[in-house]
Amino acid sequence: MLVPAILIGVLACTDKSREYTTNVAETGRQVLDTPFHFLLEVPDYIPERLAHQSDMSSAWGHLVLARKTEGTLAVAAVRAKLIEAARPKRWTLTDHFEDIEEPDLARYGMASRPEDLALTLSKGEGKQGPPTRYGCRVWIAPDGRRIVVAYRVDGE
Amino acid sequence: MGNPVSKKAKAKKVVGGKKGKQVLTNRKSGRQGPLGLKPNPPAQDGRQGQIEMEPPPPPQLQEIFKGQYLDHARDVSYLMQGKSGGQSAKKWFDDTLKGSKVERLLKEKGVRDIPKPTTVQSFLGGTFLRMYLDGKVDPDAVEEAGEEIKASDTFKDLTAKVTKAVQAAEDKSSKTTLEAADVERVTKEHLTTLREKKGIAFRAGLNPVIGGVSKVDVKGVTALGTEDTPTGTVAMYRINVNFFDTYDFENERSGEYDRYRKNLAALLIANRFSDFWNAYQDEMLPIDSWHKTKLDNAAIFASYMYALEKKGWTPGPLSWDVTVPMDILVIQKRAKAKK
Repeated sequence: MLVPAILIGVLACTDKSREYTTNVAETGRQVLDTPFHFLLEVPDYIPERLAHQSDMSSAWGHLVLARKTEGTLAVAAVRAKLIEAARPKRWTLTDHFEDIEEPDLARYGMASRPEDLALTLSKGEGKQGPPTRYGCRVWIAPDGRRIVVAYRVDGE
Repeated sequence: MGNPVSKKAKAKKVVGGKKGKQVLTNRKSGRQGPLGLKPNPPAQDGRQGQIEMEPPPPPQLQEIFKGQYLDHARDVSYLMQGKSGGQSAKKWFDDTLKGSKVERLLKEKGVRDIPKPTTVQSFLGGTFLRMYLDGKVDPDAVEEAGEEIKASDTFKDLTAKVTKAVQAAEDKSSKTTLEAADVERVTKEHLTTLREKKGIAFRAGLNPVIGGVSKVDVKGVTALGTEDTPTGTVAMYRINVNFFDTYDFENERSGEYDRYRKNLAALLIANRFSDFWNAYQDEMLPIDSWHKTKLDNAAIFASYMYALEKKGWTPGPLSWDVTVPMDILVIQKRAKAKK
């Protein structure tokens, strides 16, 4: 009886992402691959919302960070903070990703536009098979109070 | 039908046991570790976290476990095809609704936002999983994959990029027209560089089938002739692009997903079949209180397959390749001096 129930569990798996709006930092540490954890530790920003999805070889989703303190911050300053957090973890700047979908920016009061920052990381080069690729596209609200990240990991 | 472990195997439970020997428990007894397992005692040399081997069951019993677990994987592969069919139907519905009077009316009334159309996983996802379980490339499946690849946005984008590269070579060339060998060389160089620098990947619905391509090659170019147009003479070429991939469950990952799948693999390798099945089933069943992780079912099933592969119960990585014809048009913009 339990084996058919597992198959029901497989069917019950929807194609929508799972959304988390409470304990997002803790959930993020569980759900996200380790290279993405720097996003959970950007100074002065706390994770506010996480929408995560996966298939058998990849995982992707959106993470929203909100500014902890009052006041605004210029986009360039926020961008610099993110790069400072990412660089020690061996992330590098890159161009636009075609396979990381833009989230619904209007939901966060932003117009659809090119990302403010795109980061990439590869792991497992030299091993048999293609390396695992990590990617982030980042949009920063004009007042710096929100950061929206679309991320993706592909382990082929 | 419960746990595919037989009653005989379930009864084989050591209670108490010698000092340091791991006791086989079910999930309801004993102290629970983070994945519902009894934590291991430290090994004699002080190393933590290693799962102690159980003696292997008799070969016939092991074959029963193997058969049951592989049958389950096969069942899931058919479910994947069923899901793909459902997604196709939903996409058809969403596409039909899009831009329609009904959609406008619903929006005006504020009844609901029309959901973003579903990504349809390729129908071949299940077929390819079975191909992997059989350890044998299915030419029909590969041919269908080629057709899906050809229809994909990624392939259209590659075609545009190759056209641009070949056009640039044509513009620079002093030959009257590029030969097929020239087009082959330019295309191969361009695609190889693209794959090495940025990767070539078929995402969305094709991700479970091919995903990232491990190698790309060109298997011949045919010059299809030329045609005079107002903008110049257009030369047509058919380029046979060969994509290579390996279907397996071994990849570099991290975090909770990696910990979970390695633990599943360790349990299976240690012949702790009951613990293995419980650790899998508890995460897969739609009973939230049983879940020790936040992994979704696709990740859990991929972990299950990883464990079977590590145990050596699948035929292992399956390499395959497909040739997809790419048609390009190149403008010979000006008359060139003959060599």
